[in-house]
Amino acid sequence: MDCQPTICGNSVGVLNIKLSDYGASLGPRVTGEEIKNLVLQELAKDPTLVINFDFTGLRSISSGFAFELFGQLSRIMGKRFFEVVKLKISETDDPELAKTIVREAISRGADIVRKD
Amino acid sequence: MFLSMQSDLLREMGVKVRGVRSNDGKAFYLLKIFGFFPTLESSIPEEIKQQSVGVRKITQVRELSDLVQDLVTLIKARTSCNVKTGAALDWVLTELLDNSGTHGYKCYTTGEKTYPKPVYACGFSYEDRVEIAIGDFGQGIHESLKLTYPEIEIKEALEMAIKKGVSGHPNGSPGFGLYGASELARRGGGSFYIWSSGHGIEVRGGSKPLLFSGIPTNGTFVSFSLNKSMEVPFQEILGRDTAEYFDGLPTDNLWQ
Repeated sequence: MDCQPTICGNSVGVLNIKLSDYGASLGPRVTGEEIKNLVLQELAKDPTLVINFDFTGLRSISSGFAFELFGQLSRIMGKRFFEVVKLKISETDDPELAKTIVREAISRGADIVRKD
Repeated sequence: MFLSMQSDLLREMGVKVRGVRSNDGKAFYLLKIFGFFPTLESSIPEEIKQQSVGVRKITQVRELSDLVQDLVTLIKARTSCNVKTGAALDWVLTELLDNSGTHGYKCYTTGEKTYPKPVYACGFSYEDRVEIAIGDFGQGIHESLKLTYPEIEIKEALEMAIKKGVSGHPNGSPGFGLYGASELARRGGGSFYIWSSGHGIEVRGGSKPLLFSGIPTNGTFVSFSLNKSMEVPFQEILGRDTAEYFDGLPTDNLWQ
């Protein structure tokens, strides 16, 4: 079966995405969009999926990348985002920094939803 | 390879180069102005030259991650900076390189794996300082911000670019890159320069950002100098008040 490494071997109903598979430092926002599209494709096939983002081994993420992935997903999914997305962020060099970037990105997505 | 990269850079800048030499007047001057000077500077000791990351040309999205890793590895090895400083450098590099790749040309269409215009970067460290330079030959900050602020003037654009939440990206991006880098330099006892669209701005701790006339070339060049032992309150720089986050949203199960 032709499948992408990041989503092979998942349990039924769970999509595990190890972000370091895409690079140790994730700056380019097009990469964020690539992963976002992957998630949306999988959700279209199975709307009950739980999505685990694993930050282990990741050195840094840019705010642009975080916005394209987490901000846009939260904008598109709305409250459902908070019900099915899990972030394992504790194993990075500076978890508080990563958390600040991700939190800001998600809250911007939420801002857009509120404005809409 | 390094020398050929330098030659490419200079040719793209419109400088005629027969061979890159340390006394190559105009070429050397321009490189130095933009922060791309490390291994050309004859006064820099050989051991430091060997531990610098020479000018690297990036054309593929995926190459950015490798470049950030090389630069941060060099800097950590050279300066023995602490984990938090390393993480801060990692972050600021990902921000600035993403800026160059995204705004360096009108590549707002997404999904592209190759940058329409290359991005250049190099790193250098000595004593207690770290210096990084990043550049592109794209549309420049002024043109980029005109998308969001159609009436904006060049000098005003440079002042706006280092403010929080200002972005030339049309989809509501955070606008943290240049702001975060300038705040890191300002609060960490360093300096931050931007040259774009023929003008420049300098940010240092303890003084207001200073505008000046720059080199009339297209593209954007940034260089920053940081103290290796800085402790920067990222939450204070980048975050909003905690109470503003996720107002009314169910976030209890988000973090693992």
